[in-house]
Amino acid sequence: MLTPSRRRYLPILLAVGALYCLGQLPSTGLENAAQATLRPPPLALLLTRPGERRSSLHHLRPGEHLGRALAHVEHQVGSAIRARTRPGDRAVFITASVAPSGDYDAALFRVAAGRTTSRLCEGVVHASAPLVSEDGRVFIARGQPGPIPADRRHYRVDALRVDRVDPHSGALDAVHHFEGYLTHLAGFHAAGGTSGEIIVYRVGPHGADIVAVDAVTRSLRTLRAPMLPFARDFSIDHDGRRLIFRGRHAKQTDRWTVESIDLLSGDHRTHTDDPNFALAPAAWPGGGLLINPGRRGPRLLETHARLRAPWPRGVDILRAVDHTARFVALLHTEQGQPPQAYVYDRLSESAQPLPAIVGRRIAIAGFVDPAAGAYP
Amino acid sequence: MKRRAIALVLAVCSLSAPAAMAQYCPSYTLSSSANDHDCGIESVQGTNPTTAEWQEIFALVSKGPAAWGDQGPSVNDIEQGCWIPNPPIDVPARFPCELIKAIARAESGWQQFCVPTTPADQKGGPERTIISFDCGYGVGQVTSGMHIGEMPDFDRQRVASDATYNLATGTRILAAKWAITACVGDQQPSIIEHWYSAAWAYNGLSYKNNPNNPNYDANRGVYDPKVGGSAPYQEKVFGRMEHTGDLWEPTEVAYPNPGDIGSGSKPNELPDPNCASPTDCVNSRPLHKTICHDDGSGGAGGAGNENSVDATVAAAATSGSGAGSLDDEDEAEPTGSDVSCSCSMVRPEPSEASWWWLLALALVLRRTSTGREQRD
Repeated sequence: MLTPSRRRYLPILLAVGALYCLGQLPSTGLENAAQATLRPPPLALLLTRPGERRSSLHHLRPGEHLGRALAHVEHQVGSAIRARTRPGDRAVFITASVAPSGDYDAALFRVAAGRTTSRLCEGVVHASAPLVSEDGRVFIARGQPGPIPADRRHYRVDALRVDRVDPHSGALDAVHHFEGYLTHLAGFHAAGGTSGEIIVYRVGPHGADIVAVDAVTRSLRTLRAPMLPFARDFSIDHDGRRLIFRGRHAKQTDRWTVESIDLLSGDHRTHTDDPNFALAPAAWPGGGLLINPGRRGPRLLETHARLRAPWPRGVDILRAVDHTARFVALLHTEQGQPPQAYVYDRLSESAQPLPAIVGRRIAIAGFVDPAAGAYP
Repeated sequence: MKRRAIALVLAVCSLSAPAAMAQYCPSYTLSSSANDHDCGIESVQGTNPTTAEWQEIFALVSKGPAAWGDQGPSVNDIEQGCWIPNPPIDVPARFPCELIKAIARAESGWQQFCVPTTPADQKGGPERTIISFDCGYGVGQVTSGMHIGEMPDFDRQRVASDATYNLATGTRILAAKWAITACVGDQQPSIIEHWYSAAWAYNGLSYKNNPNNPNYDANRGVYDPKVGGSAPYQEKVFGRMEHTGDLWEPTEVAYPNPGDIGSGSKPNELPDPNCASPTDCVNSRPLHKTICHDDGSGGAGGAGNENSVDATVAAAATSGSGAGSLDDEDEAEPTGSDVSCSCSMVRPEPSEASWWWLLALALVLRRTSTGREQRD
């Protein structure tokens, strides 16, 4: 029994105990409270100063200061930088322009701290991003310019291909060929085909389509054709069933749509439309869609989840989801302003902006996989 | 002591600042061992015009062959009107000075002559003709007719040696692009925005420059060379009319609705552009008539200094384009600090568990105080 004089310390003891437990509890029971204290894994970022011929790789969490660069990649000035992390790997896969100009001026690099940056392949589609599957396979869109058309008013038809790239040696294995204007890697359908399917958006003289290419057998399945050649901002939803993308209204050329295709049945659906070109839809982890209607900031569709974005205006673009699907990395963009990255915690519904990185362009490669081991 | 500290800080800053951007100046001259694209004309020694001299050159060239006489090549008349409502008629070629300044800025950074930085066997020495690796010559990066064995009906030697002649030859190519591309609005040569498709074609009518290319950022907005990033060529040209670097009067040009572009195998006829940016048609802008056709001045004067502009340049490979191009480069100097702050913009709400602990704490406090009251 506590004596009355000691009893007055009871509230303090309880409070200390509560704080201790909040830090120790596993994810059951007081789940929300416990997990609210978790930090997101670091984000792998590529930073580029305008006018410079190289970009630097950094790992950064909200609340941390930008430290020294972990590695660099050399490229043309003004190059688009697209980057992706790879599950189980500390390396980041980056595409950047290495030739001064041209439609296939980019190369794919493997960049990792403490390692020499290696150029895996060239001839990569200008400003395109590598595609990394959940099991770590790396794919890239490449091409070669075709002959100058006899009728110079027309687009040139190029020899395009999708290659699987060995993430270490850079050895290439063509999984798809196409004669046309563009092949764009829209996503990876893990449940499709014998060992997953690459979803490819293609534009050519006969219009546009979306196809699924078996990553092993290379067999092709048409998901949608013909379609208007205005699709962009592709993502696959949380359970791998639907491809989400932005399209254009069939009749009104100034309205843009959020559409989806069932990856198994091919069923097509239009979810909403809006005059904002930069709707930038994305599948929201756990269900629902992120959209940016009317340039009034992002909001979620078809879910009870809420998105409390840090900024009321602009367009927020989903760039990565961590392996637990709890943390989402977004890039806040406003026209004429440098973008700002933030991490959104879906459980606590709070946004944690990364430090403002002044005077550099930011490319988010993804969250660093905690299972990938520590850097040397 | 204080002075020493300041000096130390300055020294440290100068060491940590990124290396100053070396001005990129290729000169793949005929005799270079690195000339693997068969550039057919030897570079010529010369002094690059000052900014003020450039303004005079732009003023003259914008008025077309009727004004430049034998200072440039001949140029066919161009069509004016597209039945909206005016029927097409042939008129002497004239060009918006704002547009040719921006194209020359994007192509070469207003350089006809510079001290070569590449290839290795051409480095250093006096200022000579800027020649891209694919034989784009001078300020307008004239490629057509400049290879070994080609015999165009203009003076190739003067393209290499004379800035005015070079720029005039560039506009001749632009006039040819005006002729082969579909109408924009009523196809009035004095309306800057009506040159959108011709500017696109100046870099080659490839799908890479289609504003609906999904590889470009959805919310990229008006291109600003100080910010950089990837964008279709014609957007980089149009952006430079707005972000002129104080070299000439900015013009906030309008952009076509991307929803009107993209179907079919070539850029189709476009209504009058009225979008506030390449990715924002929610807001609108008016059309702009060039200021250099009516007032007799031949263009806006520049506010620049007497030195040559210091933009960097890159070589270009444009299969199928008439003019080669030194595609854009960012012009911005790196800015100061990297990290300004780190803070959460949204305060996390207390979790449900926190409320339970607070309730428990309140109950204990109440019991303790009740006990104390009873004892008293």
